[in-house]
Amino acid sequence: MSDTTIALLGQPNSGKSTLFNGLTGSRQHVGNWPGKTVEKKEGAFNYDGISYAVVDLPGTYSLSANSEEEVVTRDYIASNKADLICILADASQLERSLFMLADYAGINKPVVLLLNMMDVAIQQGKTIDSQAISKKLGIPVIPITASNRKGYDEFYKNIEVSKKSHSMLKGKELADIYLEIIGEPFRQLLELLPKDGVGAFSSSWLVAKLLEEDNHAMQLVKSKVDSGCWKEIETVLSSVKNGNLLTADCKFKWIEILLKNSVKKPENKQGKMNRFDRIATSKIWGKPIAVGIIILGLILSMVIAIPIMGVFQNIAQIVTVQLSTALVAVGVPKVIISLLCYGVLTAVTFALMMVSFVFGISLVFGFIEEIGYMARISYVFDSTMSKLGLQGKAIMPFLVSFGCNIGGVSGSRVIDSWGQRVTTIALSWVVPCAATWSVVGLVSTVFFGSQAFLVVLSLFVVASLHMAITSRLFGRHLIKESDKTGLIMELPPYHKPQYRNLFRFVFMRMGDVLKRALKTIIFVAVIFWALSYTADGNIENSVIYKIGTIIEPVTMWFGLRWQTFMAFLAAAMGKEAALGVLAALFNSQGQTAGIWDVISKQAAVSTSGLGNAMLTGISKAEALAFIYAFFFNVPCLMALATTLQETHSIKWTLRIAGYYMGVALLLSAIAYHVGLLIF
Amino acid sequence: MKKLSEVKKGEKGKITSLQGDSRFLSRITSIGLTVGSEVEIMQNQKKQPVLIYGRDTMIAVNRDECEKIIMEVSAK
Repeated sequence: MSDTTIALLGQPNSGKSTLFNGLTGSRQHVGNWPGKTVEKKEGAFNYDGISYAVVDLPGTYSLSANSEEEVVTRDYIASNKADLICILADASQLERSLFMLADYAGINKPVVLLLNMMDVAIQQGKTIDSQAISKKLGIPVIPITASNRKGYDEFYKNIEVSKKSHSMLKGKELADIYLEIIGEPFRQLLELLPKDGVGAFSSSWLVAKLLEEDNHAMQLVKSKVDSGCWKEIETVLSSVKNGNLLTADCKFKWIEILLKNSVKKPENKQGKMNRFDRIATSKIWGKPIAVGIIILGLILSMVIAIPIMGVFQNIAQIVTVQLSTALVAVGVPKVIISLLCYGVLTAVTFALMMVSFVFGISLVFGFIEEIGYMARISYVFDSTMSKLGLQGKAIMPFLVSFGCNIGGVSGSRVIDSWGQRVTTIALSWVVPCAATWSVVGLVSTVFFGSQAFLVVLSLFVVASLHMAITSRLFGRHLIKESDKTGLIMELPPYHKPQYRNLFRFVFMRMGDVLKRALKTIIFVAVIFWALSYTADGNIENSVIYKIGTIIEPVTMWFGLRWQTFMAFLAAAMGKEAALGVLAALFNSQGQTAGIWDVISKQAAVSTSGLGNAMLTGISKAEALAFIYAFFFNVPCLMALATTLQETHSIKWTLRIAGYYMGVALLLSAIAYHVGLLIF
Repeated sequence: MKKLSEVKKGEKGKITSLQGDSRFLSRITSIGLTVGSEVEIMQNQKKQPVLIYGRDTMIAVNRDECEKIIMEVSAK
């Protein structure tokens, strides 16, 4: 158990995540708030013999109860779980980012104010007298630069003192401003409410929320006063229009008074927007630049990942050979050797390769996010992506998926809302990766010759429909009404990248990614290995063959013979595997490998031999059915493991996977029957 | 008096009125745009959110939402 629990509260772009990562490093746990589609990040650190738990509250602009994030945040603050709330404000735009503090004033819970990005503020020539601000507020105010971990000392030292001093932000001055500007209605409401407020919420804080038509505050007050009193409250409330505008005015006035004489800033002489930003947000160039940068990012991630993957693959090969010879030498049964060397080691190689790619993607796209360009991508693609109910940023995972779905899923990390992220991942699975095309290209040209392009075209049309339907199906459960309000977003200024932080964070994450990937991949791979294992290498002796041939009457509904159905299943492990499995099952010439051999070694396939063997084996309609089943299948086991990593929800990962397999079979059934009519 | 969606790039002015439900008002004020705020239009192109600069911050606002923000243009 931790001695002290602190919670970080702040608006988006206040540097909350940077501080959270800086404080906790690899000691993090990410999950969801119970019963909510909101991500919960917890972490821990030690300082001076005291252990601290840190809760990273969702980044929201205010504490009103308009979104699930805000409700979660407010409920957490009101609970007794945190010993200290740390509110972050961006010192480089202090006036605006202090809104959260103003919205907090009147909640009776110990609080400190962290003035983050002091380095940027100083660069801008601003001087901020944090002691003067602290005096006026009556709470500790700590200047900090979250991106510089060396400067955390003052924060560490103050945290324990602040906890003990138990200083709260009473909000008396703010209440006075409410009285002055709103006047009589405010005074009347104050009298109607319980004098000491409700729980942690003071009466003046509650009155402000009532005026803002905050549903949760209304329910809370209603439950605490008698019905006559509530009637009176309602009457007063109905006399006030646009309460939100009034209270916001008061809050900013309070901030203005607070900062008066404490902050000096020079006249803003430099342009508000640099030349690059003018072009990057323009209608003509914005999108091409964004697409260009994403593609460049994808290439760069591959440049980083591919050499690492190569090293792992070579090592794995050597280890496999060495291990199997050693095991044979000591007389270990063949089945155990196969399990260890082909089942488990293959899975380990898969996981290592996946991590290499996730590493590359996290580094490159983490960089793009950190310098502030990701917000521009979100801006230029907002109207396009909002048709799918998604943020503009979702374009990134989609484009990256054309290269590799693992990268796409991993890149969805930049989407801050969990529900939006899961929906984006579910949609990105439709995007065909490079490996998909090698199979679709081969099978469609073998069977349809010059008309293959029609098949490809039909795939694109169906894929678009698939995306439209999937976004609605998943969005309905995952994207709350409150997320659907149109875009109102800050475009943060460009920052200098903090390479050290970025590397440190990405490196520390990889251990966790690998651990989870290993679990999932070994689990699935070993099951598949067991199904396809044969002692003598003859496919007909494997469990999967027996099941496949028995259920062929059923799979033929979808136009899939047992061979193509096996290839369909194998493709869920890795798209490249499908060709090898087909070659093995159709006994094409020069192909002797078993199912698992082609998955684990990605054995070379003689394409012409396979083409001929398939032509004699299945009809055109069946080939079309297979193309559809294959194209819309689960991308690969590694994409599945990455999805589990990014959604941290087994339930939703299985839902997406089940949905894809189901839809792929449905589409192949349709394709088959349409094919039967045409051919 | 103009709707924010009709204000041209480079024009400056003050927000004179904000309309809409309480959710919208809460959202727009919490990001720093209140009645009386001084803002400058940085980009206003068809089918794209409007980019405005106010309270030391660049803020993108969806076109539909811009219909609910009224401002008085004071200078170019």
